[in-house]
Amino acid sequence: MKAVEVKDLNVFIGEAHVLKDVSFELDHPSVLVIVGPNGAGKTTLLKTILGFIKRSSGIIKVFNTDPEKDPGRIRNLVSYMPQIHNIDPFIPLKVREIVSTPVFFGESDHDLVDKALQITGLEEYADRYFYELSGGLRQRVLVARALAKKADLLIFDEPLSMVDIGSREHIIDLLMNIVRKESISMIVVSHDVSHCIKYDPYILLLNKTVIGFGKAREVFTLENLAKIYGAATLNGKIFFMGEEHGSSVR
Amino acid sequence: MEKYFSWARNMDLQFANFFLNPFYITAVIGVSLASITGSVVSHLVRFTKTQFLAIESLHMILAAAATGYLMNLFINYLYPDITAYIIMILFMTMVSYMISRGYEENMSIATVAFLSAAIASLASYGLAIYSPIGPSIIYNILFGSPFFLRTTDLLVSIYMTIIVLGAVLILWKKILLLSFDPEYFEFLNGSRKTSLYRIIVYILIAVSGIYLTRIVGAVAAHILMIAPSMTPFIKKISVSKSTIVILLISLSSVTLSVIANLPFGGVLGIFALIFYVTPSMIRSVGRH
Repeated sequence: MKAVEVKDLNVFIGEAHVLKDVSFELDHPSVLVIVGPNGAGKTTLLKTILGFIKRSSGIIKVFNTDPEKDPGRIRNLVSYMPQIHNIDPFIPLKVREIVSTPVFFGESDHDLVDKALQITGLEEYADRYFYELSGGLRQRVLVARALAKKADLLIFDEPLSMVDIGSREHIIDLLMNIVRKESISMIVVSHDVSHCIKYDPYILLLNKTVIGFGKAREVFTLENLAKIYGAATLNGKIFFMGEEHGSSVR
Repeated sequence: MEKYFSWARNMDLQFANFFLNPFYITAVIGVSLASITGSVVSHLVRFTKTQFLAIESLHMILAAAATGYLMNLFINYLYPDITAYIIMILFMTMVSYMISRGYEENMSIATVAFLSAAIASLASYGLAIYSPIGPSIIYNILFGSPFFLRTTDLLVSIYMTIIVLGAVLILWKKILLLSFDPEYFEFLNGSRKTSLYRIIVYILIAVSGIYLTRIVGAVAAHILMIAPSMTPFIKKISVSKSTIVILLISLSSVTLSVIANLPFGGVLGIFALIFYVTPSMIRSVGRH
């Protein structure tokens, strides 16, 4: 069974051709990490998969469902964590209230909320206001909220931004354990794949179009990295160039 | 001793006359209701980042209110306030429709502000020409007169306070979640429902704008719709605390405006500057 099927996808936002002939298939259950420079269309791809952005042409299926035709079924099947930059941290909401959002809208139950708070280590912060927390803890709250909803596919848009290096590993380990234990699929957009590599996920190298898709050792070639980041040099095993928020060299 | 008591008794009577004066009582009730509604709406404005709407709504409020009075001159059964509410809701629906169609907020609000400015000017001109008390109506719309509210105005104020507060109370959690993370809210609720909630917020702001204008005038209504959510002397965002603060400031303004014989909006503006802006300025000077 395929978790996601994307074929010849083209997306225009205004005049800009943001995604060009994007095609890939993701088996269920499996993990996909989408990598690419800023403006590569990573978030647009996620939003098109979720049905937020209308495609100009091509086919998208999530568990055999077209997100534009049946958004309600997509909501049932998928859990999503948007980028933290779109959030207003000063809204007076407590951690538990935020993590319980899916329960509030009838998409989950309180047991899942408690479980999500427990596995993300947020139990002691449950009654604190979001604006009182550090950047890393805030990120964990959003991860917990995504985990508090029943889903067959988890979609995370940069879950590691604003998180310190030590906590990055912790969050990825946490997500990978859940994915394996529950047999669910996951798509992660991240500038930093170093913590994911050990779990041997699928990698989609994206720069408006698909530069490479497959396992890390097939995709991270000098040629592909040069196509994405403009230049790449071999130095040891794998050399990674990221313009991120903390680029990583391995 | 006898002399002292008679003096005190006279003072008591003066105070009693002052505080039991029907004009003062009317103003206290009206301004209290307006302050409570204003405080809640100002938090709504702050959370949903619709300050642009609250600030730019002056043209719309003037246009809606002036058109309401003007139409009442020609069609007697059209109650001016009802017409004003309908026109204000139409303006706000137009803004939210343009934003939902992908126009920038600035572009949307500018289009409606230009339209409402034209209608406001024409309606005010029409009022001045066709109604013998036209200019005083326009003055009333702009600066208000909480001391001269009729019983019906107070009743309408009570109903409006209940309606606005009731709606905000019912939708409060949803509004907070929508403001916290609009994208996730849209993910769980779909784009249509999300747009609907946005329109409801806009309409609540619009209706409150007209209602507050009716009591304290458009100029003071702006202060009540923006100031309470500023928190220079409240450490954390708290609707109840900021409501108490604006209530005290408004009631002090009513009292001082009687004592000093100054317009309520002017005194409220000065108090708002002293209590909301000055602490922030002192703090920012301290930081530099």
